[in-house]
Amino acid sequence: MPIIKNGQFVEDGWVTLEEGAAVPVEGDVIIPLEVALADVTALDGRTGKTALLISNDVDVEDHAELIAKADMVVLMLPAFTDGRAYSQAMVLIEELDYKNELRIKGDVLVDQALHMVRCGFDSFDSNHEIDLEVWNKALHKMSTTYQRTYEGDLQVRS
Amino acid sequence: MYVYDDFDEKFVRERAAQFRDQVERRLSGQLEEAQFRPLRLMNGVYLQLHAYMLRVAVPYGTLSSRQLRQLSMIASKYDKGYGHFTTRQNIQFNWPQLKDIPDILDDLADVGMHAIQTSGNCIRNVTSDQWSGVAADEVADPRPYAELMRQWSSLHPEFSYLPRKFKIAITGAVSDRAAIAFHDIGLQLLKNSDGEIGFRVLVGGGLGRTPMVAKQIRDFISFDDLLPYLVAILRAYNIEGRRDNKYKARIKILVHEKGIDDFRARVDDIFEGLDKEKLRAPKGEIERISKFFELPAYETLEENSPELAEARAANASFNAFVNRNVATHKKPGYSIVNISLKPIGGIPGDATSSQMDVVADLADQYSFGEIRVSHEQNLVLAHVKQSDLFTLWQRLREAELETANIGAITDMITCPGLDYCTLATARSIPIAQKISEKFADQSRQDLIGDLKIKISGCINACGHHHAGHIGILGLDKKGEEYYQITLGGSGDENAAVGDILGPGFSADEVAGAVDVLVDRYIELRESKSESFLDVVKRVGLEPFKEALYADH
Amino acid sequence: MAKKIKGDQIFTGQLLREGLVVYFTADENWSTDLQQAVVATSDDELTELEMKIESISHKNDVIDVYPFVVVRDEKGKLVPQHIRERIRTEGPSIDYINQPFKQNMNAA
Repeated sequence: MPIIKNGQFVEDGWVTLEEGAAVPVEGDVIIPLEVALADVTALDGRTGKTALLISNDVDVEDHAELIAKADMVVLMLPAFTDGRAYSQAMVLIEELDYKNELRIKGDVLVDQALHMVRCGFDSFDSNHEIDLEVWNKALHKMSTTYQRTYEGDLQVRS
Repeated sequence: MYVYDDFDEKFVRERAAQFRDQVERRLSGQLEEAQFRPLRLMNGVYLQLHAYMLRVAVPYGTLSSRQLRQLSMIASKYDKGYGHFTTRQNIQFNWPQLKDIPDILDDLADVGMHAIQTSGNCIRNVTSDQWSGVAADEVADPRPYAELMRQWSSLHPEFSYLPRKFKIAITGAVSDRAAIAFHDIGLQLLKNSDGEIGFRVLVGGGLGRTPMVAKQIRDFISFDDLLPYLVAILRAYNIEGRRDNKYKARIKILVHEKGIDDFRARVDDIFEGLDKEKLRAPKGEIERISKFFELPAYETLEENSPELAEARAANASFNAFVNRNVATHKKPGYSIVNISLKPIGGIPGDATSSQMDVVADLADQYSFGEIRVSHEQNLVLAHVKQSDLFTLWQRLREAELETANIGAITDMITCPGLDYCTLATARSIPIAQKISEKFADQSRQDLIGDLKIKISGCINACGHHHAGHIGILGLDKKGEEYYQITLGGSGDENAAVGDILGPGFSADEVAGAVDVLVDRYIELRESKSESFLDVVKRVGLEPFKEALYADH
Repeated sequence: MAKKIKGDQIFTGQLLREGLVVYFTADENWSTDLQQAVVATSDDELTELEMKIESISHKNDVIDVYPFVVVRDEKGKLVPQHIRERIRTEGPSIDYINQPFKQNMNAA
């Protein structure tokens, strides 16, 4: 599936590291957190960009140093009803001051898109075929919010 | 009471429109049921035994007369002319059609109401003391804080897909009428030694198949830190709460498994790292909200007018009503009138459209246009002049709303049970009706005094049976309904979970079993002021077991 | 899908738009009348019915589909075996519209 970013499908240059494969020096690679943890030096001297793929049972605070080096973090959404990634995203951003691309991957659906955007996700890798028109409409169904998180152009209670 | 400004109205209307779009996509087949189900639940739409059910939020149990009339209209237009008030101070309609629900949500938005987060694994309607603002034993009115939490929790992006549902209750009084210890978070308003308003915070209470009394996580948190602290608790729960087993997913299990001290440390750790300034209520917001809850313009009156005393002396039924249903108001000359929705032999918590209209009219005439819903499934007129009580009672009588049984044995909390609910294992309402008829005699009810019976039609405990002085739980044994009885539960400031007495009873036996228990209590009590619950605490279960099972 | 329970079974569901309880009929449709339901008398027939329901084009119109056990009463009418399904078929067992309000027993 293509990646959604800024309301558009984009060509994705990222390659996810295959299981058991060695971390290459070149290329933009998404590396599972466990692989990066097993050999921290594997990330050193890379010429391409590095992303970390983090499952939703990981306490991201425990990996601040690694995350600080990442060009992208990919959080997992195994089921749209499992909201752990939302809190992981908030911790990444608010407590670890993470500022690079934040991707959510998995059971990504249009009806949760606004929640994702509001928790700081800015790219979306869905298992489903997404109708971009419906996606963009869903993002603009609400123009008001009571919480000051990633409110974008939403009007916030003040 | 709170009135929506343009912002709130826009929010609720947009939310209704968003749901309309989701319903259209579902009906056209673009959205699968599995994807739609959590969306409809977050708008209070269940699929029940016979039909859809729509649960409408009555935030902290406060309604205006206009809102109640609109609920009556919805009951007539889209349903079968009645609604059911619930233990979460909400109202349920039992027969709406999915295709009509977007229109109902628009009708609700017209009067500043919604069904947002009345179901789903998210933060539910914040409940409170039905006597908020007028109770004699109150530190401060909890409703402004409840309204603030309603706003804060609405469509919260981080907390809409929690491991399980999340219920918050708040009280401002010493006597807990909101059962805060049986909520995921319970808040008790306090003033510290500097006179600053804050909250005692309880966490991890709940009923269901694993009942637990909440534990204290903070003895005092200042108002400024309330929302950040709630975020810290919710975040700890969202990250660590169990998702492998639906029945172990509530925060009570997390708190229990971790221990309150470890859980507190985890919450404190998150709390310390938060950008609190960003999470606090906007400056001046609580003051803005509080203005809506300023008490109405009371007259200066004498307590206990001679006319009232005269009417009570002249009319025994009215006197019984005053004794049972009328409570002390903090303003002299005014009373709190509790309207029972538990007529003898009736359906606990149900009100017809015409009854809703009558109560709305009476609220306009006698109680500043405001109505409360209690978690015990009754209604309240919170500001009635004592000199109006007799006339009000006569009007209630015409609408068959004068049952004088608040807090008495026939004032039972009862879930809808197998007559409506897909989860139920046995019926609840017919059991309540049989008990109600058995104890119909007013003088016998008076003799018995305060006794709370709570009935659930399954282990999920929506009827709060664990917290009943007498709790009744309906189960299924090989296709037959049978009922387990517990004793000694309590939902107040001395919260306790009841203990199972022994083998269960058939549907026909339950009311008789309750009769036996009550007779035993009357024999055992040392004086009329020793309540059923006091006696159970003093003597334990044995004498009651003996009475019940001696012949079996 | 549901467990295979001994006994004759029929398939039920609820209409997506209205929520009403319906039963799968011999002409591959849904009826609110239990007596119209097609009865599976063996596991094979039950599986066959299940596949039929899966394959019909208006599948989206009915949700929460599952089978339950029925018996025949003395007049030969279909009756659900379990109380849950009996209440679901017949409606609430209480007089929910004309509630038997009060009486205040010792009214003056």
